[in-house]
Amino acid sequence: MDFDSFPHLIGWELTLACNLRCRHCASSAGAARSREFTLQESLALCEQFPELLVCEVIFTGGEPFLNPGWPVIAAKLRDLKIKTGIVTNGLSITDEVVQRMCESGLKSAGISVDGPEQVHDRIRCLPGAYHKTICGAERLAKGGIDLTVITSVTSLNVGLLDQMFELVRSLGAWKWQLQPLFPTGRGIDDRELHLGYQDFLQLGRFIQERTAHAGKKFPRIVPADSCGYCSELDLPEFGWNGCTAGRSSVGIMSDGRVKGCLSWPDWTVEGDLRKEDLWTIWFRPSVFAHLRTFSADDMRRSCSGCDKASECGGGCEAMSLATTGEWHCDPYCYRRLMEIPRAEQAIARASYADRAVAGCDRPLN
Amino acid sequence: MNKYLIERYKLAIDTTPWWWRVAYLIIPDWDRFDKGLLEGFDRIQKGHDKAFNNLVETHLSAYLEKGTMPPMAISGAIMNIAEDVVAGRVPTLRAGDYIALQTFKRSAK
Repeated sequence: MDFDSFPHLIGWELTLACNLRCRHCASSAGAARSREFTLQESLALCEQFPELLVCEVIFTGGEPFLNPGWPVIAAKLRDLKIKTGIVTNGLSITDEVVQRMCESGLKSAGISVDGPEQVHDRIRCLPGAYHKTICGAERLAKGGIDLTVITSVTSLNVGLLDQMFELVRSLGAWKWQLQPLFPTGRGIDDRELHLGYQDFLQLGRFIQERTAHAGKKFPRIVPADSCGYCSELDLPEFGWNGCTAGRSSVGIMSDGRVKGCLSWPDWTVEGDLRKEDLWTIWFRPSVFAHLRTFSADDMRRSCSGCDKASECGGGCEAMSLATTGEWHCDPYCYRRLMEIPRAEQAIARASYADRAVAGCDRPLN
Repeated sequence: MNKYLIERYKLAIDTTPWWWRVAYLIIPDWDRFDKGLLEGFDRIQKGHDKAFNNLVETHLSAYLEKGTMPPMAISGAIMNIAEDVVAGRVPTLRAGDYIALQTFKRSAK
């Protein structure tokens, strides 16, 4: 067998149900999927993880706390010695929830904060959401949960990151993950949120400068996979070695379907855990072929001919698929954007959908 | 009790470019367990690798003690472990061998 890596990290969508209807939601979350896993099925799935050498599971959604089985599933994973975390919008976090998290071994949480109050509520489409989220974050920190703040970076907040840094610090977060908007799901048509070239570069420079000045102070800024690659803006500790999806990480949807990454479109589903177990899907010879066996010749569009192709692999596949529909060609590569003439960078709101007009598909030379 | 145990949490992981890749799993020998490295032992006994450990032990013992060749699908894996045992090294299990053994175990279900 040629492929001998394992899904060390699993993103597990516990439910697609959500108590928010955020404008940028890549999953278009709201209602639960029609046939989501039962608790019994979920626990049986956990039993499959040890032999696949799974080291960490992250609960996502939807809003994962809306799956009433989360404490049982978390406790099961704790018993299997698998580290578990959760990504939440923070609305459901009461002191009792924090207590149950501690009891079930769920010791880390990522909470979504998308800006100061007005911006957050505008993106989350719910007045008062910010206040509830901040209260939730404070309860998590007070309860001893390792707190990460996750910000979906959009055109509405990219200019407010300095201001947000102080907020994140005041919450007691250990990490601040900055995730550029994926133009997919509900975010695809909401052009007001889309990032232009200059916005991407502004984000990259913010990350670099803040990290350089912060030293070992918290929060540590964690650039998402779609912030890169192979440029002077890369952080040494987060060097890009290619997308891990389908190689050492995998996404499990709440109805048991399996993708390399939960941010990928549904046509990338590689299997169904109601029909096959995860081992069978993971080691099927043809599975995740685009990710496991490719060469520099497989790079597309803006990545075609790039001399970093074999090192980078075309960037974040979620961003590549969301913006181009193809693998191996994330057009929002800093290295590439920095070579685009400033006049083109300055195109107001050169959004994802306008990329071809703006010249983003031009090969790097 | 198993004589040869797989401590799956002590992974040696190769971080060469492209992706994290398991290179070896360390198999602690019996003496080390007798000396009190019981945390891993508990994990295994309470965990889900019992059948796997039994499989390895059965074929490894048969090969080392009686010269019985393992089934073709796992012969390479078992002989690699046996080589380590005979040479007095801490036995290690290559990721590919681990996959072959697990696949064999699963096919026997």
